[in-house]
Amino acid sequence: MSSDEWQLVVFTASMALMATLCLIPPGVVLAWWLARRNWRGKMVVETLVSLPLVLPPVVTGLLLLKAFSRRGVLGAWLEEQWGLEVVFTWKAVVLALATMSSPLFVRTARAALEAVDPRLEQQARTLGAGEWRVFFTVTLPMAARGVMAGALLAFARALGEFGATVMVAGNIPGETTTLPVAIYHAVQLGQDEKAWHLAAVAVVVSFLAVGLSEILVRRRSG
Amino acid sequence: MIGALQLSFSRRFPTGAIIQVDDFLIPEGRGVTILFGESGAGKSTLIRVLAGLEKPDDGRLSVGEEWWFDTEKRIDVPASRRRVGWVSQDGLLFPHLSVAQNVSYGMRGGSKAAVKSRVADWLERMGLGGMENRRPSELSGGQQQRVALARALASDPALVLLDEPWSGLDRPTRERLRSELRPWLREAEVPVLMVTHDRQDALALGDRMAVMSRGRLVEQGEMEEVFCRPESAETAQLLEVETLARGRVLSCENGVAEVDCRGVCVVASEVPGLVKGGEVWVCVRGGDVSLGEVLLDHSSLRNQWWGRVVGLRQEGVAMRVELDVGFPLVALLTAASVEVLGVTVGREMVAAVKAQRVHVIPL
Repeated sequence: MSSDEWQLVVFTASMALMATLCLIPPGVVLAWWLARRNWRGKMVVETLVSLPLVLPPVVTGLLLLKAFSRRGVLGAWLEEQWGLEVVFTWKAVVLALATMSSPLFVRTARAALEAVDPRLEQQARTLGAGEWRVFFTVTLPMAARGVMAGALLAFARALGEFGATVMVAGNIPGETTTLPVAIYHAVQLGQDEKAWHLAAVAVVVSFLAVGLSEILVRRRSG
Repeated sequence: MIGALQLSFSRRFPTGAIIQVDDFLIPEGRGVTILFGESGAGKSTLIRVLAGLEKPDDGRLSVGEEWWFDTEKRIDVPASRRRVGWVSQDGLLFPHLSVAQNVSYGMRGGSKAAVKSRVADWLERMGLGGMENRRPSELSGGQQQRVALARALASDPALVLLDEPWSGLDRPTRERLRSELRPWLREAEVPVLMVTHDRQDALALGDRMAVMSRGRLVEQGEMEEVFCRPESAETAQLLEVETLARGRVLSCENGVAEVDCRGVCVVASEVPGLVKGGEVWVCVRGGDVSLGEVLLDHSSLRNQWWGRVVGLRQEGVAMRVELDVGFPLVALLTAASVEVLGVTVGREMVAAVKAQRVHVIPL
């Protein structure tokens, strides 16, 4: 593998990692609300969470672009308040990856949290534990494997994300070009060998990530 | 506990079943109250409402001067702030924590060393010495229940709630746990409320009894009261014992025990655990008592007592005859027998029971 290819892998992996890490705290919170609470309009939230799974990725990317571009609702505010520019920077890559991976993570984490026997949580409460303590000492530890499995899935998905990324982050070599984007670009330019190289790397890394996730899930239910 | 506990509540379930409890009471001070009734009577719901794990549709719960729940005044103290030690049928030990971590979960304050020694103390008392680092999955059912009990007691509760704590275990383990934990429960410094459908539990452990049937609190009171003078045939049926009397063992040998019940000598078959001078409950089923006009000589009947009929009433198809033979005794006779014998209130008669039919429970 050449140093260019290596740089691509490192960049893609680190973007995927950052997206996953940013996704975990709010994702767990959301998963917990979905797992343990009911409210009017819960269905709407559940649908929104699943949306990136179903919408064409380019559409999701387009929506993100509209919202975060310099004239967009969120983009304008971010630039005013903190001088932050999102679209067509690495931040947009993280944004796109996190958005596209969120349904996988939230759904897996939710299932893991739901699998924790609520009576154990009740027992903890009778022993004097407030809600935070119940969550951190009982619920989360018991759901940990499932949550980790979800995070690995999210990571694997983020490694392969293309449609939304190319929309909102573009293809700026060295700045926003991820592995999948580079593969597409290579094919377009007729650089077949390069494309196959990169594709092989992508397969290996994804295989490892998903495999690890499966092992974690299996051990939890074993 | 800081004062008497009073609970009234109602709850309707989606299935249509209703639970309605009026004025359930646990008086101030120590003691074991048995919440007795068949499955589905609503006992677990009552316990869960006390613990704060279930919200009634309507109700009031006060402990001494404190209000823990009141639908009208919109008071609802959350479970984590009610100092209640709850042990359920399944133990519910935290599987990812060690035995020591489980037991110390509810402990407040203290240095690490202090907590460690308190945990060691509790484990010692429960017969689990040295098991600090084991995981719940490595313990037997009986051991798990002991850890669950230690965990509840170690959290320094104001009230201990046991929801059929050993009904999920096999009989020998149940009996062993009951006899080993009996001193603990009877001498605990906080009131204990124990749910059970097992008569043996009730008799061996209870100071007070509350009976529930089909969602209602049927009656409550001191053990002897509820057993001997149940207010309803329903309760009597549930308890299956019409006569309950305290006694002291005079002798026990050759398979036979003699017990002094308020001056009357009662002969029973020996059971394990009897010691001379020990206190016992003497139980006799109404259907096992026969009445006559004279004492029988040359009979195998070891128990024949003269007594006076103090009460007579119909109970279903039987007639319930209440006698005073020195202690209150109940006989269930057919209506025909009552008529033929001419049983009337005030009449002196001989009541007889085979020694085999007198059941003794050591306290």
